[in-house]
Amino acid sequence: MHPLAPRLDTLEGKNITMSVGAGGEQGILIPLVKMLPERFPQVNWNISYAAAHMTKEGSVALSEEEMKTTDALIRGVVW
Amino acid sequence: MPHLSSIEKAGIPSVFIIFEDQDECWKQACRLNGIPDMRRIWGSRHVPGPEDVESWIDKLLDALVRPLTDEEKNPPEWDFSNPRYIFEGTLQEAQDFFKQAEHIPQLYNNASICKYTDGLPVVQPTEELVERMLSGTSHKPDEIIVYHADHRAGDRIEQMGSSGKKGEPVYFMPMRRKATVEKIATIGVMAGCEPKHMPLLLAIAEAGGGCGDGRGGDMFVVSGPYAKEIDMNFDTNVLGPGNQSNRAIGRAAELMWRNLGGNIPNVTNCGVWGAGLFNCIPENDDALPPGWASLREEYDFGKDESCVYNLRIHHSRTLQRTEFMPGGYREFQKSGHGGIGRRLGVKGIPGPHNWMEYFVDSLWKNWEGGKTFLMLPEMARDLQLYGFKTKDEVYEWLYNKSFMTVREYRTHQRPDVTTNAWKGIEATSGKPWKELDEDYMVPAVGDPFENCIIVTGGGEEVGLWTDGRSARSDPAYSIDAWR
Repeated sequence: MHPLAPRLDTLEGKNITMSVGAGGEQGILIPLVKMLPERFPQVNWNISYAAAHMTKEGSVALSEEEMKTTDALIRGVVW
Repeated sequence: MPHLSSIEKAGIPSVFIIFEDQDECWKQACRLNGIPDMRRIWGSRHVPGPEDVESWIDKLLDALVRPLTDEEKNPPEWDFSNPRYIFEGTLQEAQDFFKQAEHIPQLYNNASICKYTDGLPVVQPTEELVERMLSGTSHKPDEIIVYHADHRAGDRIEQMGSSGKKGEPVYFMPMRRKATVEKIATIGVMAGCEPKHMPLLLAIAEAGGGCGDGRGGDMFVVSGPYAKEIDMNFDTNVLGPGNQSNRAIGRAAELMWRNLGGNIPNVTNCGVWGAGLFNCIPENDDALPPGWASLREEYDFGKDESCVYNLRIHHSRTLQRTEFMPGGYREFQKSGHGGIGRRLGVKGIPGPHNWMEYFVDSLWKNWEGGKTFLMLPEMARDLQLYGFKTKDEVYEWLYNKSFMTVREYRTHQRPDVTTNAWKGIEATSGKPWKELDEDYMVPAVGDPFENCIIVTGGGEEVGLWTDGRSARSDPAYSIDAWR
C-alpha cells in the first residue's frame, strides 16, 4: 500500500487544479468553481474539465503537463 | 480510479467530492488501487448546489492541508487473497456452511447477502465431485486462468488491471482476484454443471466470469458445434428454465462474480439494480440465413471452432422487446395489412418488409450506441429476404439510421459526459462540437460494428434487443482452447 501524498503546508500561492467532472452534478460544480476563487483568493486556481469514466473524449483529471505544475487536486466525481 | 490514485501516488495531494452512500465502494476502490482511503467530502443528492457547496467548501480545502494521520502515512497491507478452503463435516454441515449470509449495513435495510451463493442452494463441491468435474478438461487444477489469446477486453476492464494479453492472468472484479482451474471446477459443481461443461466454464472464466467491470450481470452466448455437444437449448424458451446447460452455466458465471470477484452490493460493487439470472444461451447455427455470419465468424474463428461471446448487459441494463404483437407482424409480412404496414407506407403490399423500420427511430431516443438483437430465425430470414444479404448490411443500415441533428443530439443526456461537456471533438467532422451547425447530422452509433445480431430462440415473432458492443473490444473467447 502506498501512503497518501504529503499535504500542503499552506494554501498561500499554491497552484491547485479544480477538475470539474464534465457531464453531471453541475448543480454542485458550477457554484463551486465560482466560489473557490472568491473564498480562497490566495490560491492560483486552474479550472479544468474532464469527463467521468466511459467517455470517448478522455477522462484525465490531470494531464502530464498539469502534473508538473499542480500542487494539489480537487476532483468533482460524477457518473 | 487507477488514474486518480496515480496522482496521489505521484505526490500530489488530492480531495474528491462523492456521495455518502457510495463511500464504502470508494474505500474499496482505493484499496484495490494500493492506496489508503483518499480524502473526500460528501455532496448532497438533494440540497441545491450553492447551499450544498457552502456547507462543505471549507472542509474541502482543509483536506489538502490537514496533516496526514499515521494510517494515511503508513497504511496497513490489505489481504484480498482468496485462499483454497477444505471443509470437513457432514452433508448437513456443508449445506449450512454454504447457506451462510451476512447483513450488509451499507444496504439501507441492512439486508443479508449470501457469502458464497446466489441465494439458492448449491451442490456441495466435495473433493470427489470437483475431481470428476476436472476430468472435463486437460488443464491442470492449479493452473491460473490466463488469456489464451490477445483480447481487447474493453476500456473499463483494462483500467481495472486486466491486460487482455496472451499468457497474462485474468482478474475477477470487483476484488481483482485471480483463479485456478480447480476453483472454476468447484464453482461449476456448485452451480449444477457437469464435466462436459468445463471447457465452456473455463472460457467464461477467461472472459472474467460474470463479473464484468465489477458490476456483474454479464451474459454469455455460445457459438459453434460445442453448443450441440452439451445439449444446449436454442429453440423456444432459450432464456427460460429447464435446460441444464443453459441455466447451470449462466448460474456458474454469476457464482464466479460472488466467489471470485467478491461482489457485495454497495460495498464492493456500486451497481444499482443488479441483473436477473440470465441463461448462457447458444446461437442457432442451423437457422442463420444464407450469407449471414455466425458470431464466431464475426470474430475470426473458423466455422468448426467454438467460442463464447460475452454480451455485456451488466449493471441496470436489460432486454427490451420490439414494439409489435406477433400476429400484427405476420399480417404485415404476409399482406402488408395492419398498423406496421400503415406506418411504413406498404399497406396491402405483401412482404418481405424490413420490420426494423417500424421502431428504428426509437432505438436512440434515450441511450446512444449500437444495439444487440436477439433475433428469432424467422425474423432474421425476413430481413435476409428483404435484401440484407449479410449481417454487416444490417449493421450499416442501423448506423445510417442513427444520424440526428446536433440540435436533437444536444437534448440527450449521456453526450454531456461522452463529449466532455461538449468541449471535445466530434468524430465524423473532426471539428469541436461547439463549432458545429445545429443542423449538422451526427451518428448516435460510433461504428456499424457496435450493432450485433444473435440468431437464436424460436416461437412467435417477438424480437429482443439490448445495448450493443464496443467495436474496439474483442469479447469472443475460444472454448476449444480449454478442452
